[in-house]
Amino acid sequence: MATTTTTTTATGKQKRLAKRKNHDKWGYVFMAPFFLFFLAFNFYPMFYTIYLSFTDLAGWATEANIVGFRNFQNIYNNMLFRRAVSNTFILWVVNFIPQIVLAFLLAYWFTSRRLNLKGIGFFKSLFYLPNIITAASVAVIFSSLFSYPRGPINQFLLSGGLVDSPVDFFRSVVMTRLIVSFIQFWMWYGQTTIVLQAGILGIDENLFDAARVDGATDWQSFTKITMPLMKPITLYVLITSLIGGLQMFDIPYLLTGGGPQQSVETMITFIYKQAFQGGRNLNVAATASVVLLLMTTAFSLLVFNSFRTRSSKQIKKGVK
Amino acid sequence: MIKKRLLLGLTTLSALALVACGNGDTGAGGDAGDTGDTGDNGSEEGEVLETEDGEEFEAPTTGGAGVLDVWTFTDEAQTMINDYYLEEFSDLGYEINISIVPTEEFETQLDPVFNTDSAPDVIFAEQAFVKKYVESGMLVDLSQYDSLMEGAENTYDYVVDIGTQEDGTFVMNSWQTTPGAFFYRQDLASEHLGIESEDEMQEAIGDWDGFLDTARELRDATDGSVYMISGRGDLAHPYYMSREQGWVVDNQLVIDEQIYELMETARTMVEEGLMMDADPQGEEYFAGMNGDEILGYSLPTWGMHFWLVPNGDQTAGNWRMVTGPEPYFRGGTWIGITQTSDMQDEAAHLIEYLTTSENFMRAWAEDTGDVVSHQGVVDEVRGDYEMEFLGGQNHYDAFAEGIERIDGSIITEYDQSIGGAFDDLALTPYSKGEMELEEALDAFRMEVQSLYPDIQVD
Repeated sequence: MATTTTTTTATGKQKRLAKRKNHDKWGYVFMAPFFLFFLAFNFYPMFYTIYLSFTDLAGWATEANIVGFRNFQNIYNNMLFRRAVSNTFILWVVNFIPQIVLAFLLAYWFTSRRLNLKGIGFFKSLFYLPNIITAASVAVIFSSLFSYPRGPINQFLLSGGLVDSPVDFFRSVVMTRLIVSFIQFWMWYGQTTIVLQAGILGIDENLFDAARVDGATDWQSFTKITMPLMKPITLYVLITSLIGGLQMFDIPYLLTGGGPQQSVETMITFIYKQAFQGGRNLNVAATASVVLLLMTTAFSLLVFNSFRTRSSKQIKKGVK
Repeated sequence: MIKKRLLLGLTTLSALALVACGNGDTGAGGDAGDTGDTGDNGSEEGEVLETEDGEEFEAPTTGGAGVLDVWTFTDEAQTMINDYYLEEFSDLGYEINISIVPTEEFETQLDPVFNTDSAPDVIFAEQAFVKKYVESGMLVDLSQYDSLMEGAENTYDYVVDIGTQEDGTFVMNSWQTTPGAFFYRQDLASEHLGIESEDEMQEAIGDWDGFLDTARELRDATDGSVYMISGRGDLAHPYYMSREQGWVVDNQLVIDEQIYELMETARTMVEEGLMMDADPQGEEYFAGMNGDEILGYSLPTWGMHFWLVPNGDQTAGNWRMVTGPEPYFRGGTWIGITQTSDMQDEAAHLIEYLTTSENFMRAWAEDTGDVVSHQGVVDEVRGDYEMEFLGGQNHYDAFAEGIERIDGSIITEYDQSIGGAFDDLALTPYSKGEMELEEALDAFRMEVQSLYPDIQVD
């Protein structure tokens, strides 16, 4: 709202310009709240966390002493943290691969002119709904669905003769991981579909028309036109999902608290437990956070670079 | 056109969802508000927070100078202060501001402000984490208050022991004792086991071998349709209390002989179908109190009042209590004063009343049936009870019997975290046969090492 239109006469222009100069500083004022909040709640905590990772602050202690890289050595040797790292990746991969495949498929169907599906709006909203429900409610829903021995899923399996005795899902490492991954998948595929669909809709229609004229099949135009031009948006989805996935916390924590056998202990549940339970090792939690930050950065760069070198040309032509 | 319709559809749906969520929230708030609202005498409209389970509660507050701030997790505190303390001392000249925080959020709320000026004056702490605050060295030494100390001479030893730091400084006291017992269904026992009285029952299950034999007998007599106990929760507490040493001694993790015994007993009972293997305090656990599938539960004083009686309305009158294989205790709430408090004398006055006043103790015992920490009062009132729920048995007398044998030295500041890790990572998977003993204990050690890097685990 701060900008004014400039179509006016020459004399008026000068006056307006003078005035506009005055208005400009309001821009800073309007921006100030963001920067203040950013400095206070993002910038400062981030550097304070990095600082803490070099100290021995834990428990009731109120003063921090610098201990060098000891915390990093300890966390490297911490078997539970290593397990948390591998758990996080397992959970992310198992949820992301089906998610992107399904999202692509749905996005393709929703945008396909030939299929011309009815009720797209309805289904899109439906698919997006899980994302609106808070994680706490989702965790409660799933823990009662899969509860042992008399949860609905167990009763269904029993009455269908699929199993002989009820399955204790949350006692099984594989099942618990699958359920957590499935919830992540179920909560986020709608969102991914919408983002991918936006990407597809952003592709110039003429390209598809030309392909059709040349006799390309639907599948061909999807693989030869849509997919390559979707790389930037896929990259975006991949990176945001990776960052989100590395920070997976609410579902595993609320569902089983990291169990059984520490199978869904993720990096963030580890950090949370370090900071707020047991010996309240703020230093360890801070160190793990810094490691997480480094890992996120490294993986994002890796993904980003591998995409860019192969398709830098196409990015230029791609979505705006 | 399609896009427009889509957008319209999306917005209506999300609007609907939002409305639905909004309704749900206010509903829950209404429920939770009942307990929280009345507590905050001194505060205005408080900030509303949520527990992990989505239950709402008001953020705890401190009222500033001239207000005695009390942080607790039990609404009993509110009743004790409003209906007893303030009745007796109506002209204190200062306000008491009680904040009730759900137990699972209590430490998260208190720890960041503990030992700062924003800390409350008086804190309540439960057995699971009481030692954490006792050993913190940031609570006021109660021995400077002569009348309180005089009164505390009547307090049961184990209660004082738990409220005392390792160096002997007495910092927290309690109004209650929480001995445990084994509650069982007399009707099922006489039908399937031919046991007709509490004495016979106690004789049968007086030690763990007898307990297991009785469980097998019950299984054979009923073709496995009636279980001895609900699950490992009924074994864990009696076993914990029979340990020689607490979880940590001299900065070293101790896995007591009784811990191995507990793991073996639990596994045997699962393998042989002697217990239902329901999760402690889970759906089946509570459902069993009204059904005919579970013979008994190990419960403390408050467990009977808060869990068994409300969930056993259809089986009321059929329950009896005995000591069981091992005398034990579970839970209990201690009260202390923070060193940062600017109203320490006033706080001590409150604690003296709640934990040592004979008149209050008597009234509280008579009104609620709580087993109090004052020996004299317990001895005085223990003869006068008759509980219909227990078929007229005198529960007070039976509980009082157990108090003398309680050893408080087993409680450490690590109990909550280490006990929780043990149950999750060792006891549960081993009892269910998912892991072998050493594998399970290794996972447990790894978690303890991670939670407390300074503790030696092996």
